[in-house]
Amino acid sequence: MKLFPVVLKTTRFLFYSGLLLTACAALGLTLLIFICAKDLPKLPQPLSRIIETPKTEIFAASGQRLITLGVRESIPLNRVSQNFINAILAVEDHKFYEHHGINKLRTLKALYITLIKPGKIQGASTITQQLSKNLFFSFEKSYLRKFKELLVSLQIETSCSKDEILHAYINQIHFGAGTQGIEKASRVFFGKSASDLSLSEASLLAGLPKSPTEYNPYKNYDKAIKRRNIVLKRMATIGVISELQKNAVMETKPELSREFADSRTGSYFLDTLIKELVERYGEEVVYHGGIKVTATIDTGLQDAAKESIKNGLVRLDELMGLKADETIRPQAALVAVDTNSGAIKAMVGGRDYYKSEYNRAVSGKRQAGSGFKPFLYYTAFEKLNMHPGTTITDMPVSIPIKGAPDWEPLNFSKKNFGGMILKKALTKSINTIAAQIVEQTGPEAVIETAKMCGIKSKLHNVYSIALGTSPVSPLEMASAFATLAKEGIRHEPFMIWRVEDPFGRVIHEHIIQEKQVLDPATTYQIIDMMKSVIDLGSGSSIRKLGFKKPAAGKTGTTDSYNDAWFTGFTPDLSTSVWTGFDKGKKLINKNGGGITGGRAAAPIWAEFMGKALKNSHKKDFPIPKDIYFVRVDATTGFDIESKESQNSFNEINKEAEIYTIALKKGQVANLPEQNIQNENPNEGEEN
Amino acid sequence: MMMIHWYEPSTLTEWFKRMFSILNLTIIIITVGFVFSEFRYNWCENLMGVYLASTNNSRPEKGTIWETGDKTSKANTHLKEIIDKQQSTTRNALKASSFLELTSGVNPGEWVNLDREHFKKLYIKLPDYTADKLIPSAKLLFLLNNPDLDRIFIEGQEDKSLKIFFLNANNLVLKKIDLNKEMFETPEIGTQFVMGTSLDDFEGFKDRIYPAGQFFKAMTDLSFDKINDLVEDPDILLEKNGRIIRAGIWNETKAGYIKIGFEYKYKSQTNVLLVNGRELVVWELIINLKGSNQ
Repeated sequence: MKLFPVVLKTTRFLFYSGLLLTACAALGLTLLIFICAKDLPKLPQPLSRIIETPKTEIFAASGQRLITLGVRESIPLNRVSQNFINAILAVEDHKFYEHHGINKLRTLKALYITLIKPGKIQGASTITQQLSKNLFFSFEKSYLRKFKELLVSLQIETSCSKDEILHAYINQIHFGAGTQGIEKASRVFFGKSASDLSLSEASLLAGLPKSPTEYNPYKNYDKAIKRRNIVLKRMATIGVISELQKNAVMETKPELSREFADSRTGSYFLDTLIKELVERYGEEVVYHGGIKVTATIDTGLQDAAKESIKNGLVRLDELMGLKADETIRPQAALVAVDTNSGAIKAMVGGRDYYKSEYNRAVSGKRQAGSGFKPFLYYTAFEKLNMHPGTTITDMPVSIPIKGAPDWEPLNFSKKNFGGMILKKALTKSINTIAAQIVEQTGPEAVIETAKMCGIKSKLHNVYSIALGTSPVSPLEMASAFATLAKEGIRHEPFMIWRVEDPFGRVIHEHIIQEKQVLDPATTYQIIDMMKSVIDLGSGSSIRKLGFKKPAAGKTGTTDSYNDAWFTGFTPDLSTSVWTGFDKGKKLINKNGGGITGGRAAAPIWAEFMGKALKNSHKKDFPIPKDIYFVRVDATTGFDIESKESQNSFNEINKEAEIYTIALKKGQVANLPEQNIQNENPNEGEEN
Repeated sequence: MMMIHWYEPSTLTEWFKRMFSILNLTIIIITVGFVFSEFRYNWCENLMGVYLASTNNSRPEKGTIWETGDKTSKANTHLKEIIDKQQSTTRNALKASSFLELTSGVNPGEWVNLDREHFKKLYIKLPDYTADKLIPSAKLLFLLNNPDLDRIFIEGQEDKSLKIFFLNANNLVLKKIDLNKEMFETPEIGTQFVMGTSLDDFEGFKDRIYPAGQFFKAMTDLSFDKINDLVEDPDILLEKNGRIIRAGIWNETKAGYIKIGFEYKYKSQTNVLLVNGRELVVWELIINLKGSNQ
């Protein structure tokens, strides 16, 4: 009997204490609401107003839209597949249409688990709370943040209809891979509009917001599918789909779109262009300003460039005998520049953008090897009065260097071939002759020529500059060779034709300025020699591959086979191709031999140029009026058609290799008499 | 031993009576009603929501989404600034009645398109010397009648000069002219009479001061047309009191003019008159003066 009053007393005490505590808590809560309310963020009216950001659009020169930046396209609920709406409601907040911003029972349960069961945290956020967090709050985990988020969600519920809330939610939610909003996610992951999502696709997308990184289907496809199955089960449990539907869909695996594997641009060109825009106008204008940009790129040429690089690298992999499981593979870069304006028409910066965003076409600085020789020969023609018919002996050379061992460059074949004209020396890429020339011109003069043509990288003032030992980028090479293609007229390479504000008012346009930096006739002589590289020399694989249009170019291979280049041009398009490893590996074929620019890069160039110029007419380089052509013996440089040399030539060498050389008025080819008079024909030429 | 208060119920019946008293039942009913009505009608949330909605306008625009909105509005402001500047430059250029005004109206980094008629008007207003220096009229005529010419694009430069591009429809520069503001400025001093000074006080005349006799002899060796052309307003030389004892030629050319100084002796004081001499005639005069020295 004594126990009962004690129990009753305790109950009474607890009841009144509870009432008092609840009253105090309510009072405290009210005070807290008043205090927090002042500092809560303002809610925009309507809610979707600030979710929308004007889109910046980048167009190709031919008008196709290349990319849209910064846009958050808000689509109405009736343009979203009902499958997705059912799925997202089922998995995130199936009582969405019943609660007023907070699911009290779920919250109490979550609170109980979080407080009572250490280490376990149960989420109970409704869609409205999630919207509140995403719109206004950081991801900092604190009770105060959570409380404020709750208050804002209550206001959202009071101020907006359920459909408005759901509309705002699905248009701003993050799905991972940089996608925000259902329309973008749908386009990125499945390449279709949100209205066309199937149940399988919709349920997969609905599962992503819980942990966009963990469930990113591009990276963890199986995890994403498991999560999708949870969504489907949930949908079946609450009755929006049948068990039969659930089971049928769980058997399927939706196919992901690979076109936009994430929110990155997927383009080396666009990355570089956007960087330039940001430097010029700032991130806010680029991503939030709604500007319209007309880029220089030609989508047809860009597709051709991508395809050519892809095919070229497959060939290179085969040549090197690389196995399917080898992860370190050679890279390649290609840049094509319009010689008439400097406009960059195509750019590929590597094998696979999604594996490496590093743009080797612009940022990759690699030794150009013999690709630098055209600058050397131009310098020699201008400074030393040499010409394509000047003869120099290919022999072992040793050039003394102050304070360093003598420089003794070797030919690629490690053999020497004796006397030859300079056109043949460039055609066959003879290093010892290049070394003898640079000894006479000095490296400074070669550097000056290269800079005039458009090379901007720091070039080392050393003799070996003649053999391209200073690193340069493919863009620089394409641009500098474009100067040669245009008979010495230089154009600055550029990527943007025009920038307009959202109302179409022009805020920037590119003006094509021309600068005659090289002598046209001497430049033509270099072009003529470089044509011979493609027709007869180290770039002859281009003709074998079926590219028949008039073109000039130069291969480049570094000593250790780290880099293999081909840079060449037609009168209208200059293209540079680089191949090689990013670091640490050489281009060696399966038999252990080195791979040259002629084998690795030239086929890519040929394929690209073949596709790029498929529909253009055959056009040769214009011949300056003070140029005339002479047929000469490639060894002695004798004019084989001159009266003086006809007899002696026939007697001397009936098997002679004949080259047609371009000479300027005032320049003459060697004659046998000159040879008799001068023991060394070169002396007469070079002085 | 447990103490029992006098007011505590002593029997179980009494306990139950007190437990189910009207007060207790009322409190329990109100509490339960409060809880159930809240679960059923969400009035607490509604109340808070209404209150917060009423304070919405006074609250700060902050948080992730407002920051994004801010970025958009900053971008719009920046773009508006660019366009406003652009429009103001265009207005200035259209209003410009001389190339000098044009150089003042187009700031570094700004640009404007000028139609060929307007360009022609500005060009015609230039003094022959300056016009020729800018672009010979025959060449301009050829350019303006070139069917390839699409527009004239003018861009302000850092050094307050202008670049004028004659462009074809593909934005290719057919001709570029550099237009320097100084080309159109009249010499700084113009005609100026400085009392109580001598030519020696001007650093610019150093080594180029000649006795009046030698100067005028060299001047009379010029052709009649050129003598008339030497200074803009020769009458002013006669208007000054005193006798010219020396003349000096400035060591710098500006906008097609070279300053000439005449030193007058009046009573015991020397005064200097500075006038603008036309550059080409002054150079010829200098040659004559050098010849007379030899």
